[in-house]
This record gives sequence, structure tokens and C-alpha cells, in this order.
Amino acid sequence: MISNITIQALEYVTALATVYLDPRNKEKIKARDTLFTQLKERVPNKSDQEIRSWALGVTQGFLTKD
Amino acid sequence: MEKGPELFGEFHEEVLGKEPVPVEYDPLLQQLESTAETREDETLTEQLETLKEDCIRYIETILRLAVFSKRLSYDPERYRESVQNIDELRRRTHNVVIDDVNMISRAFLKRGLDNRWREQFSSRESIEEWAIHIALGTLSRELIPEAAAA
Repeated sequence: MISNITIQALEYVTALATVYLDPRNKEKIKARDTLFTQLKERVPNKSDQEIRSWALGVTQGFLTKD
Repeated sequence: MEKGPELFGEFHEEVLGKEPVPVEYDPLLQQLESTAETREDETLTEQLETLKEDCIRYIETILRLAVFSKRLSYDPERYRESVQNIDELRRRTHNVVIDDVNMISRAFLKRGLDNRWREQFSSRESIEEWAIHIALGTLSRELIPEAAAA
């Protein structure tokens, strides 16, 4: 079973990918930012950059088993 | 073997307690981009940009599949339909990435450049692994200034 915090990290990175592919879409940008805010609430002791880096690392671990 | 929905349940460790391995820009991609830049080869540069976009599109589908598997598992009918659709998209985007890699390899060969790097990707799974590293490294470089400087 995948933990909820992992799912949140995966959702956030999915939104990052979506915005990368469609950078001018305001709705997608808003969705990405909402997911980031939700993630931040779960990981309050990290800076924004640390959270982004952490979410990408979690995703890498999930996808590659690194 | 490719990652199917049934494999996503295997990732169950507690992620808050330990730091994940940091994401880095893929070194082979960096090397290929450097070759294209040194030669001022716009075609090769564009092909590498396309590869990055297609890798990102590919992991987007893998991640959507994982998230849907989790979020819709309470509704078997919707789950089956959604997962089948996304899984088909995942297969197609994987094929696109493989086509990109083959095209770039041929472009290197055509220019008399060393394309032996292609030999390490002899299976769909090995290209999938590379695509994941390319995509996450590209997103990391976009988002995190330290990654861009590396």
C-alpha cells in the first residue's frame, strides 16, 4: 500500500510535468500550486525548495526503486 | 517487464522518516546535449528537446496511473476503465520515447559521431529507466537553481 504522503508527492510531480508540457495553462498552474500548498502543510519543517526536491526524490524512488 | 498497475502496491515504506536520493540531471543526456551545442547542431538540439518533452509526457502517464490506482480503488468499475485508458496511453508514450532514442542514435551515426551509448538500452525497461531519469532531472533543473548549476 502506498502512503498518503507519497500519493501527494506523486500528484504534485504529475502536476509539475503537466505544467512543463503546457506552461501557459492557468488552470493547470493553479492546480499545481494548490497541490504544493497541501504538500507543504504535511511537511511544515522544510523550505519550499526542500519540499520540491523531496517530492522529486520520493517520485524517483517510487518509479525506479533507487 | 514494464510497470503495470499491480506493481504500484509494492512501494510501501514510510517516506517521511528518511531522505530520498536527490534527483540529478541525467549525465548521458548532458553529454549528448553538450555534443549538439559544441557542433551548433540545431536539428540535434531540437531532437534532444523533443526527447525530454516525451520523457516528461511518459512519466506523467505513469504517475497518473499510480495515483488513479490509489484514488479509484474503491470504485472497481471506474477504476478498471480509467486504468485501462491511461495504461494504453502509457504504452503509446513509451513507444514514442523509444522512437526518439532511435532517431537520435541514427542522427549521431549519420554525423559520424559515436552512438555506442545506444547499446546500453537494449530493452524497453532500460529505456523506461532512462526516460524517468531524464524527465525528473529536467523538472528538477527547471525548479531548483542548485540542480541547474550542477
